[in-house]
Parts: sequence; structure tokens; C-alpha cells
Amino acid sequence: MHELSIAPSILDIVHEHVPEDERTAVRAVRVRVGKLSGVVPESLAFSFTALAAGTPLEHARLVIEDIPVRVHCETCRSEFTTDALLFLCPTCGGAATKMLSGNELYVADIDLEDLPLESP
Amino acid sequence: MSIVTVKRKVLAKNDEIAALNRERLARHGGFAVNLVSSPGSGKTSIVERTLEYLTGKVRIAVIEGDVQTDLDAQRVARFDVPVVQIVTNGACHLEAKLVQDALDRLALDGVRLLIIENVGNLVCPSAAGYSNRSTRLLPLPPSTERIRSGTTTIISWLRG
Repeated sequence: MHELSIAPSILDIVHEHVPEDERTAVRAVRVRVGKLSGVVPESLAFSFTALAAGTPLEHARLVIEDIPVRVHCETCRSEFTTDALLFLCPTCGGAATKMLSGNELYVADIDLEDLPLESP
Repeated sequence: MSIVTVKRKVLAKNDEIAALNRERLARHGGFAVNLVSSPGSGKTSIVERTLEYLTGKVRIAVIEGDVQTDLDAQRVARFDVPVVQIVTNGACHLEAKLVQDALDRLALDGVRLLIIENVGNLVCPSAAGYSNRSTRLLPLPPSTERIRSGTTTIISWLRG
């Protein structure tokens, strides 16, 4: 349900960046999703495809790139990547940590197939 | 193949509307609190306690979010404060646009405190920002102590 309400925002962003007569050429929409953004990638891709069906964007694929969770340890100043929800520094065991990345959700870029040049 | 670089936050529009909501409330001198937690953790009880304490002292308005019913709005309406129920029909959190529409239906003049009770869910409402402060309750059964501390937190924010 959550993803089905996010997907329309992605379509809106594509509409803002690609003029109407070029939308059938859109092949991929690349989205970066932080692992802690609360978004299920498969569900987002499904929602996108469902909403794009029957529109000029129906040939577009949602390509999702995960952004790992990077954490900074304030005790020993090291940085680490983790899949755990509890951020404990693997170097010193410190719990005073700050998340550097991992909750992003943004449209990175859009791939368009080159359209044949119109004959003069 | 040509590439259009976008780099745009997916929820940018939600954030823009959220900022408008905050500005609008600020123009009326008001302050918004967003109550976020799992179902059954005591959000509505905190709203009731806060209203018990503040009714007659400060003008308060309430926006209630629920997936299905208006039972929470009925509980709040006993206090004779302006209340709008948003029924999301299954959606898991209140989006800024829904809050904006609810604000249209509230008389905001003189409202000092707006309480937004989000849909009972501790996952996505935590990420949405449409108030000045959010309280996030731990998903535990409510106790008198927890409801008391939630209420005093809201009152202390209001006093700045």
C-alpha cells in the first residue's frame, strides 16, 4: 500500500522531466532507495509498472539501486556499513553512532531510447 | 540512448506541501504535534488527556487519521474541539496533502495547538514530516505513566 502511494510521485517526476511527445521513448527510470527508507523495492517496481500500463510510459522499467546503510562511529571515528538495525561499531563496539546514508529515496536519472531523426 | 539526469527526491512534493502546512499554521500562531505509534499504544488516550488538561485554556484543533473508522474522532468530539477525521481507506500513513485538505476544513483562527494523530503504524509515519514536533511512542501497551508523560511532553513543547 505504501509503495502504491509513492509510485505516483515517481511518475510525476518523469512527467516533469520528459516532454509528452518523448515519453514513449523512456526505457528506464533509475531510482535510488536507501535500505532504511522503508520501501520494498519489488513492491515499488510492481506499483510503477501497474500505474504506467496503458500510458506512454508503459515501456519504462523501474530500475532500483540500493543504497547501503553507512554509519559513522563518534567514538573511534571509523565508518562502517551495516544491515543491522542496532548500530554498534565493529571496530570499538561504540554505540554513539550517526547514520550517514541509507534512508534516501530519489529519482537519479531517466534513460530514453534515441528516437529516429525526423526526415526533413 | 540518452540520459536525463534528475536527482530529485521522490517525496519532494510531499515535503513542499508539508512546509506549506507548517507555514500556514505558523501564520495563525499555532504549533503542530504529530502523534506516531503502533496501534493500541495510547495515541488517542494522550489526545484525550491533553484535551482534558488544556480545554478552556488554549484553543486546540485535532486531525485524526485512521485506515477505516471515525471512532477516534468520536472520542475527541466529546471535548467540544474542532476535529476532522481522515479515513485513509487502507493507506498506511497521512500524506501532507491529506493534512492540507483537513486544514481546509478546520477553522484555524486562534488555534494554538494542532494535534495530528497519525494512522496506527510505526513504520512510515515516522519518516513523514508535517508537523513541528513528532512524538514517537514505543510500541508497548499503554500505561497511565506513559500517557501522562506523553501529555506532559506535548504541554512542555507548547510552552516552548
